[in-house]
Amino acid sequence: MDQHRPQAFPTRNEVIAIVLALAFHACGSSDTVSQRLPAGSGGHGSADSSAFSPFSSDPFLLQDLAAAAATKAQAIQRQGVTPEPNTLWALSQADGRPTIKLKLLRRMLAAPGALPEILVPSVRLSIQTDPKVLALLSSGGLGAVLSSLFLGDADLTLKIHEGIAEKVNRKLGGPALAPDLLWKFDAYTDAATTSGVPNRFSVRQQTARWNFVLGVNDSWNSTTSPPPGATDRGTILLAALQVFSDWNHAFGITSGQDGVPIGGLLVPVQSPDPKKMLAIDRHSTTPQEVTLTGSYSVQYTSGSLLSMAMTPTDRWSHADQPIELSEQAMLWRSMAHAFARLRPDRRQGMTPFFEATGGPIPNDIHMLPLSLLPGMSRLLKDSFIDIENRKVRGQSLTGTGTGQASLLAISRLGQAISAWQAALTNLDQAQVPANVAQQLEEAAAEFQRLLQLLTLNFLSAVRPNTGGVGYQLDNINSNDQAHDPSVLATTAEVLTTLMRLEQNDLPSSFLRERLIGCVHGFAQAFMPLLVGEGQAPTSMADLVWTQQLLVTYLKYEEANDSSTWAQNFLKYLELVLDKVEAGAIL
Amino acid sequence: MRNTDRSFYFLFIGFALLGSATAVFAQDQVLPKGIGIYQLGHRDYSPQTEKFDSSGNAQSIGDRFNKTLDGRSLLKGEGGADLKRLATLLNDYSGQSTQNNLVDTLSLGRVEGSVEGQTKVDFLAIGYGLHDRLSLFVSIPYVRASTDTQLEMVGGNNAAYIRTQLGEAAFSEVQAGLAQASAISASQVKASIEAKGYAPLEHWSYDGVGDIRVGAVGDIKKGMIGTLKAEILGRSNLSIPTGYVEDPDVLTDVNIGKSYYSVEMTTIERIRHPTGLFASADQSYFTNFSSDRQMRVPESDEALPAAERKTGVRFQPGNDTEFGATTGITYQWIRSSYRFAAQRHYGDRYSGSLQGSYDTLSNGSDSSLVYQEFGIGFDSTGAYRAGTFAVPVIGQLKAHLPISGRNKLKQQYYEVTLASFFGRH
Repeated sequence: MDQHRPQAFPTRNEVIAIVLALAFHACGSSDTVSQRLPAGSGGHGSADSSAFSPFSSDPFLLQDLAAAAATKAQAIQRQGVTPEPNTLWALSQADGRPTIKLKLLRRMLAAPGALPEILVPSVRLSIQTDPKVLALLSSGGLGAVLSSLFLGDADLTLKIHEGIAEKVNRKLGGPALAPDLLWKFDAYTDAATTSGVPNRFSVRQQTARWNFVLGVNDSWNSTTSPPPGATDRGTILLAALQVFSDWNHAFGITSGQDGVPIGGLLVPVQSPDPKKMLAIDRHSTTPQEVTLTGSYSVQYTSGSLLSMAMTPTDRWSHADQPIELSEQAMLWRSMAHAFARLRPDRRQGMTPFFEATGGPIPNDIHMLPLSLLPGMSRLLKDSFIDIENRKVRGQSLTGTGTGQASLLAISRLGQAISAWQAALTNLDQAQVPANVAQQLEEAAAEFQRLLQLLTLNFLSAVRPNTGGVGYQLDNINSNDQAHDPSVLATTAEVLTTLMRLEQNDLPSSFLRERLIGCVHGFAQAFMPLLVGEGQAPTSMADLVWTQQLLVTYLKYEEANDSSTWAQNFLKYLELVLDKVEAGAIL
Repeated sequence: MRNTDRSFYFLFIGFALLGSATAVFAQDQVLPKGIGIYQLGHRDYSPQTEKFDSSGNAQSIGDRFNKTLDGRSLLKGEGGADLKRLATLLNDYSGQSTQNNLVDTLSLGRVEGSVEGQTKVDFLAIGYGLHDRLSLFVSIPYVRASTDTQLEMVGGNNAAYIRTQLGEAAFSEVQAGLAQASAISASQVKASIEAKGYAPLEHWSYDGVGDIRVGAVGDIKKGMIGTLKAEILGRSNLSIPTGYVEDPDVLTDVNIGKSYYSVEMTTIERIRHPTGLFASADQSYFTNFSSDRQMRVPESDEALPAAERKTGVRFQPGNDTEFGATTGITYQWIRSSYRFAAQRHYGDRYSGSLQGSYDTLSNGSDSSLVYQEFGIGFDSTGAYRAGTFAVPVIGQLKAHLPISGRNKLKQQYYEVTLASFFGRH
């Protein structure tokens, strides 16, 4: 497949504007992170973890851990583990579990999407510029007849698949792609079965997928982890290529022969008019404050694959709806992850697959995620961050913030900000222009203020656990119930995120004490649901987020010293995940 | 706090001038027609350091500045806008939790104030017998008043501890605010008060004329009850607001005048025994008229309203009553007396166009005082009439001692007066 360099990278002026916009005016400058407080320095009011147990009698002492875990794993197997967004989002932020992740990747690669692969911009352009095709089409009225004879749909499909497999396998040093790993993007599907039928995808689904794909394994950075086996690398690479192809279409990077961008699904953040979907304008001198949001649907006329490739047939539409913070936070999180993953200094493990060494991935693909920063900045400044009232708004409606953000949205924004903060360090090694790097680093310094605001909003929602131990949370996901029905996973995600923020970005004994209390409240409320058979259904997201919560919780000395319950609980969850990973459940 | 105390000071001075007037000999006696009296007086108050609170207990008048700077009081704005903002943020951090609630935990210590007031009053009163049964009089007080105020910080301050607790989770403003709060001092408190447009606290003084009073006293009825000479007097006077009125930009000044017109109606019933013994009872009612004045109107219950809260206020003072009884004896030149009396000032009301808590201004304005007075003096008018003394002169020394009260200054004073006559002898 012919790959195209993304041309939507921000210009210098754009980046300056990004940085200026990121300087949240009311947040001022951030202070230097102080020394981490010694454990237990919280004084009165600190959580007394030694006195806490979510059970009157420890269930892990009453039953065989392995047997209990097997029972739970079987229950999950019966439900099935699918690459749905909540699972992908949870796994993308969990270390380890490479087997589950690779199985899900393979499942995703084989899943149908919304658009025929023939309409993938780069595929379409490569066909349009193919000498053989041009020769056939230049045969006048015979072109259509000849093309159907010499380039039928099956031939085209096969050629596409062969081309991709050849490129990937060549770089992998031999045939490594499994036969079922065909060029089927999650966002694109088989035209033969769906032509004429509107298809749809949501940004929430795609960002979860993008974040997952670029988070699988650490094969990108060989300095910290040895590359996995060739087959796995091929799967990872193919999935990444799918993501880049999605971006190509979503950002409208590739132009057709008429110079008109193919695709371009961006909407202005201040007036997300569904009729005004845009491509990135690389010639613009002002920053494009755009984003991807909501759901998109596409319709295309049926016909031969060749005719579809030669003439624009896809018509995209976008539903007019408020821009939700929780969705945008996922997008920003995945873009931060992408930038951190694709920076030249952090992708040594995949060097052969970049253009510089003859690979399919553009060298400066890492710049593409930066193009969403102006829109992110504008949304935060004008809609989501209410500095005057120190609140976080949940939605943006024509450029104005409304509602109060749920804790889930706040924590996901925290994930995004923390991820950008980490991604924008040491930019001198990231092959980002020096002046741009400096401005981005200055902007990143302002992220600390935003994290502090998010923490304040989180702490405001903490209240004593009625009739129980520790604390509980208000407004966990009131704005997101339609998308995140699992309060268990959501609560665990919120607490895990805040604990990570406390441990990495905002050391605070007060926050730590509250979080430990929240974990106690969580354990009392949800542990019984996760242990044993016959309880409420447990999802993969429930398991993974709870496991991550316990791992993060046990990093606290206050918790680790005496939390036998937590250690046993974690052991139990690890056993369940081991069995799920080992089982043929996918 | 301030407004209560301002009312309190107001009453204190009002009482002081009222007292000065009633002490004028000319106002208690009906002069013969064509006879005039002039009287000079000086009243020296003991240093004023205490007052009766709303429960009647004596407390330091420096208490007006006493302030426990804990989280809850700061949240109410009692430490100023900056500390209120800090407390509000800490409240947000605490969420709905009562455990380790930062606002409940926060304590910056306690501001303690000591205030000492000095007041001296000189007065001149002139009376004239318009008719054998009716005299006119006027009294002009000249007041010298000053206050000296000192503030100090006492008690522990845990702002630095809370700052450590919050760590990097707190905004830099909160961290800086807590760092600043951890080093709060009396001079900073004073500076923050002055930053609100108030004059420096340390010293305030004023010399000037108080409220002038003009009136009349007349015999309503005279007669004999056995061997007792009995008389009923009626007195009425008008208090003219010529004295200094509190400046809304000065916290430690006092009202030298009432700021409103007041009409007094008094009846005095007196009996005298040939041996020189005498006794009297008096009942007074003061009708006070509304006036306009400048004040700072609090938005809610903040102790120190901002400078922009200064506005014209309609002041409707409550009326006053006083009931007293006096007894004594006159022996040749010497006259001694004892008086027991009770005063009451009913609550004031304030109103204005600026939205705010006008009720707060009235707090503590309903007040009362029970006091006693001991007097001793000499009277040469008898000897003058007998031709044994060249000058008709009356002198008196009086001690005023408060017994109990409510929302009143606990003040005592000593007064000396000297009176002589002019006109047709």
